[in-house]
Amino acid sequence: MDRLDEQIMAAKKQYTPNKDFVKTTMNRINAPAKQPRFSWFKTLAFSGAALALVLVATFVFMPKNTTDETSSPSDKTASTNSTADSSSSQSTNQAQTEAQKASDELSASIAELDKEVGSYTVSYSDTSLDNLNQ
Amino acid sequence: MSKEDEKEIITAVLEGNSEAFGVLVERYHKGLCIYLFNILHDEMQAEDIAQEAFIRAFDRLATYNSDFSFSTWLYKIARNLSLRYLETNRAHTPDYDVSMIEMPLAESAQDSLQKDEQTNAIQKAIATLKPEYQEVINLYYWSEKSYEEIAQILDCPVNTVRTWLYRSKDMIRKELYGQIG
Repeated sequence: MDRLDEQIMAAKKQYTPNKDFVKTTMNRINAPAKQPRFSWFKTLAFSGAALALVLVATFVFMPKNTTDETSSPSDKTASTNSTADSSSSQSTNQAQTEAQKASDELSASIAELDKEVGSYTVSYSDTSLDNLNQ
Repeated sequence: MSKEDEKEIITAVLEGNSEAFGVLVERYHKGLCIYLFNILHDEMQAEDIAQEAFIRAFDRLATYNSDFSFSTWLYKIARNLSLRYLETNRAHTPDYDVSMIEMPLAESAQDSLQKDEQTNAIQKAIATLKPEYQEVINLYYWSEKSYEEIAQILDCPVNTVRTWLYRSKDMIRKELYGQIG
């Protein structure tokens, strides 16, 4: 090491770091571990994500079910190829006919009942309270 | 502290004993702060960046390659942070402008350095050097790093470090003889 080396070494700018440097550094290092894990932001974010997932699932599956119920003509054509589907379709038509028949019978019964009630009302209106008191 | 002791401390930290990292902070903080101070010429910034370097080293300790010295890795992190800081603040503090570098020297609290004309002359001469030459001076003479360690910190071949050091000394010598003689 020559004289210049010594002079360069002596030219080192010295200073003493803050005495709390180690303490503050370790505090910063330990800070995240000591903080509670609970976070409102995370909670809300997770809730929002879960809600969004449920909504997406609902919107994805709902129209699919409706489509199944009101299947397109092409679906119906395709379904006639299947015997099971055909018999299913027949039984559906039969059920619809029976339901219509039952509905007609019920309407007739209601009409008849209305008629009876109407006549009763008329006969009741003829009976005044005065006459009853007498 | 031996390399084996350092490895044990690092293993303990990786196993969850974060307090053990305090030994490394205690061991290296002074040298690191002075190294950064000689780059940044600002005590506060030097300490902020040194602290940030320790925190990053802690966070990324799992990626540390124990074949190298911990301090080399730490200095490399700190150097990258300081260069990024200088890059961001280039508009305010042109780092290698001699006139700007002289100001902190004149205003420094280090009275002994101010009184010593020769020391000031050397510091001035160093301030005129290219950035990479200043870095090798800082790491070799002031941080007492070996050629190999400097090469790892600066990401360059060992022979390049030798060349830069030789050239920088030559330039300082010429600058001093020009001023003194």
